[in-house]
Amino acid sequence: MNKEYTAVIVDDERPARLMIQGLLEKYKSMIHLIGEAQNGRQAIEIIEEKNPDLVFLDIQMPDMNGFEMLSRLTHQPLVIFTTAYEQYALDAFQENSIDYLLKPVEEDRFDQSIRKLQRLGVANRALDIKAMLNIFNQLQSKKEVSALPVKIGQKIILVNFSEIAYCKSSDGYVSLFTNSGKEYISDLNLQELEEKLPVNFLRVQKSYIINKERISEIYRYFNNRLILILDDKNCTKITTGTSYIIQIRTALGL
Amino acid sequence: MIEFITIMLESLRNRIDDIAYIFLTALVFLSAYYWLNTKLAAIIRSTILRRNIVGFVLMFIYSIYYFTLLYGKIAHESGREADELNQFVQAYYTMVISSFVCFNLYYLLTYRFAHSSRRWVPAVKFIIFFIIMYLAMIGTNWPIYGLDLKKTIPFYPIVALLVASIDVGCRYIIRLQQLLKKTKELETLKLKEQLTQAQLDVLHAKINPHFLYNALNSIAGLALTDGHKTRQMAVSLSKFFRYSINREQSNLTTLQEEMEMVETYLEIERVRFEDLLNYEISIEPGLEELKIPRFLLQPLVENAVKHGLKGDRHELFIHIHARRDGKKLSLSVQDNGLPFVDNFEPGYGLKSVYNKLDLLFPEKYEVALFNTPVKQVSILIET
Repeated sequence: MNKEYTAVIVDDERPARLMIQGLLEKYKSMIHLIGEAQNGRQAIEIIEEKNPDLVFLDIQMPDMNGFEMLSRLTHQPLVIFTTAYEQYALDAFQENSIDYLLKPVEEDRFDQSIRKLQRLGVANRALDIKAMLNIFNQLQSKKEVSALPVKIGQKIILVNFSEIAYCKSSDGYVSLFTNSGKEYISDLNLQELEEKLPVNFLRVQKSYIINKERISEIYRYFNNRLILILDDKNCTKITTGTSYIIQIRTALGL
Repeated sequence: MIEFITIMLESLRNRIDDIAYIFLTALVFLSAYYWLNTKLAAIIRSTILRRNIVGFVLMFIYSIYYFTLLYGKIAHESGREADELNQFVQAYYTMVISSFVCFNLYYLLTYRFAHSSRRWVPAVKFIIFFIIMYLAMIGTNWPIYGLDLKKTIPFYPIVALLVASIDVGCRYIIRLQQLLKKTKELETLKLKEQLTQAQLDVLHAKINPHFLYNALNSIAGLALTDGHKTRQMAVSLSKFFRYSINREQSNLTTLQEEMEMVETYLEIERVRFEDLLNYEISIEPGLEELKIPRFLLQPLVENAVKHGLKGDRHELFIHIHARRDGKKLSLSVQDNGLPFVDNFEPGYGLKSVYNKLDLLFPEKYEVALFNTPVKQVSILIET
């Protein structure tokens, strides 16, 4: 009576694949394991070749994540996600797949997934992979960048954003000046730096970007310009450019 | 010229009491002026308004003192009261008005280079103040003595010089105080921030849920097929967590202990990734007992595993070593994964390494990333 399924397990860790295998043991007559893959590329090959009905898919794999893998498939199998991600992140994924399983996988929870699979059968809801990929990327990009790598000869060192007082370009070179007066040469130009630095950095002149938090005093100057005094070691004085006045005024709330 | 100097010295000798009196008054007055000025800085924002108000308040207080003295003096010497009182009141108000004119003039003349760091600025300020003082004093006494140059010229340069010096001295002291206060504030603020950060780091190491769940899933997966590995994994995991729970709450640990912990961590990862992950750990003999920040190397090794297995799946080899480099301790985590890109974005792990070193070995360390000859993160610590 029960429909039979062919299945593939995708996970980069062998013990994790063993886990699913073990759990599938009692569904032998219903689910036939036809292959395993240990990374995204292998998974694509096997799924394209063997066309399984069902895939147990780990979301985090080293070469590509589970969603990227799915988006490259021509054949769309049913998917049960397995992941160590916390639950809050996964409500969105559940709506778009048969089910998701949290690692370590509970047996009861696994059985429940299989029942859900039987109930839904092959009535495959179209997976909105793009949406899931978006959600996943949002979760990933929480990483907060707070330092800038700087090359000195062969080595790379990190300079904290909060340590940078201002950036100055002169003669085709861009220098970063720290609060303590140190100078580092950056291989980025001011335009690129402006994109890279957080919002508290402000372009105030053709050749200067300053750290807003380092401004200690502001004076009016003629021709719609301002004189900014920074509180770095040298009490640097910077005259702003006429064409930047509007951005500066909005940024500083003047 | 010689005659002029002789007159000046003569006049000085005659009026040495006056000079001492003016010196003390100017010292008290200017100190009070700058003290009040800084106290009110937050309340009255306009500099020029604030200066005038402070000046007025001080002049008023001084007038009370001055007139009390005067009345006492007049009470003893009967007769010329009305005349003398009139003269002194007149003199005092001339002084008040001319002081206001002078202060504002001085402000107008000097505010343009108030924040210039050029060398000649203090000297120019000093000269301007001196000239204004000089003119003010001649002007103030004019109603009393008339323009008697013999009386005015030789005496006042000295007084003006004194007052101008006191002015500069007061400013210098204020500047110094502000600077010290600010540096102190900044340092405490920074220290606090780092302290919390480091505490957070330790916390983070304690509960990296992702790592824990994956490891436990491996244990569950292996349980039915490979008893030995399961046991090894469970034991390693307990060891790792015992180390990270860190009962003594110590920030430092021995190099030996940290390396053992890193090895435990790698053992756990090796159960998960099997032959794909290989490593070698070496400590130069004699360095085992050196103290380093707890969890200094672990984030770097974790990064090596995480990023090293990306891309084309090849075998990852991680080499961790500690050796002596002159007087410094050199720690290095090398791997054969993809090189650091030029504009890579440093993650939490690398940042936490900087934070721990900042907190525990301030200014005594160096962290650098290399791609050649081998990809590595290297730490140098002065011991």
